[in-house]
Amino acid sequence: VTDLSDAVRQGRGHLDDEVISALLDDELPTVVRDQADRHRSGCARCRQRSDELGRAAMSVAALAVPGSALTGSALTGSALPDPAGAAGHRSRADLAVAAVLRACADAPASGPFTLGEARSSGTDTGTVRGLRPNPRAGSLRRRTRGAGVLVGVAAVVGAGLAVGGLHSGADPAGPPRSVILASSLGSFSSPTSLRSTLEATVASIDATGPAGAPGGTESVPCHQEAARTAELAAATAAVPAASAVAGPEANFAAPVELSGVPAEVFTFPRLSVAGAAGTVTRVGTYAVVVEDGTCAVVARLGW
Amino acid sequence: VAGRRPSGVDQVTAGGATTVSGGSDEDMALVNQVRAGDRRALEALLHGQYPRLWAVCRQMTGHDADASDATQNAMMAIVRGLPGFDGRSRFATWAYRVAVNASLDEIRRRTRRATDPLDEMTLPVVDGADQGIDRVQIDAALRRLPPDYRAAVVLRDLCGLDYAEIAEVLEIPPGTVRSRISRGRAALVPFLDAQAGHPGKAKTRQSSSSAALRSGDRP
Repeated sequence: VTDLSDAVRQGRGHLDDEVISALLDDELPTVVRDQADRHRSGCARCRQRSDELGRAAMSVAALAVPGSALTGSALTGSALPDPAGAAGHRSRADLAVAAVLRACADAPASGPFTLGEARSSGTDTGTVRGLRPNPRAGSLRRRTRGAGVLVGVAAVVGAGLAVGGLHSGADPAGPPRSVILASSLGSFSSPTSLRSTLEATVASIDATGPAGAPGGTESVPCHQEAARTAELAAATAAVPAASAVAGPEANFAAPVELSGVPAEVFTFPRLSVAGAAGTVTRVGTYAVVVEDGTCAVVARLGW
Repeated sequence: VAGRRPSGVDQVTAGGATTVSGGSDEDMALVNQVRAGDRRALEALLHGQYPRLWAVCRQMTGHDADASDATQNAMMAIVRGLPGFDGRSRFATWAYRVAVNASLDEIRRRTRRATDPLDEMTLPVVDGADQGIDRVQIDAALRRLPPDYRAAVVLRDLCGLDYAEIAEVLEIPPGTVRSRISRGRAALVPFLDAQAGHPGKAKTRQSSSSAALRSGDRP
């Protein structure tokens, strides 16, 4: 805006929203700003509009700090849906940063590392690819017993899943992508088949090597899986009933047992995958199974 | 007040609220240490960036879990991209760009949670002029803006970037930034009207705001 008269013309005798907004943000050239300021001072309608746009700006700005109160005569605050508050935020940051650091390199925590070698998280392409089996993964059975944690809810595999990278011989530079979409997912012939497949998965993971740090270097923070799994669990709470009504193409949930620990698996039809049948790998805290070249499941491993 | 500011200092926007800090020139010192292979510097850099990355991703995606994904993806992208970061823009500006892109990627992936179009938006009606406006509801209203407009509003009002920086982050002309911020805020006004107990005015304004958003960008 270099000429206020144009802006006023567009606003039919008043400042238009762009000028008012830019005026609020001090983003007008000095001369135009002064003209606009004078107009606003003498125009009740423009003052009112300026108040409205300013209030909109303030309402967004007040979202910056969880728990902070909105200011203004008619505004009161209630917290964003962040029940953990500031402590939760710190914890979330710690987990996320730790995961990124783990993904960056296998170098010792205090040693030098090389930038640019962090495995892709799939942000750019949306592609989900698998990881090497973690040689330090250790025994699921021992870990679940020791931690006293039940195996969690089995989750899902999603659209864009490049299952070529999901088998155990996957590209070692594959991304530690653990958040898995549910828009297009695989199915199983029966819960029994699923159970046997998952048990084979557990056996395979148990055989991968000696005990190590839970999650291993390929993992991403569990908080993401926890949030995602909880969300998926809620979203698919009605899956069995829906499946009974909708038939074999519908999603369904099936109870399974992994290493003596009850778990539940959700299955989702219509996933098209290209991985070799029976291949298994770990993606973060999930075990991934490709079955018959067209099916996939991800079982949360419980740590 | 917008404009170039001392790095690392929280900003006050048009509405008078304090926003997320825009970043620090000290970031560059950390960046250089990271480039030299200092893992602790990387950890410090990521910790320093996390709040603002999270803030952008949270308001862009409108969803906690999606924001966690997007933030982590943004941090991964930052680590991968650091060797190519030439320092011509502020590190924080570059990081914001990465966060916006990660958020847009996340939004594209999460189409199953797509919100209703703005013109189908049902404004919550609250009786009484003294009724407060709930942050959650403002969050929801913001989420209903088209992502391009939401990005501009978030970067300005939440992150405190000036128009030139937003233009750099979003890679659009400054005039388009001004237009998107203006229209995005204008689209929030009916929501605020409704919350303030003026549903009739809100409904009228909602129609015009929706039409403005549909009309596209000005250059």
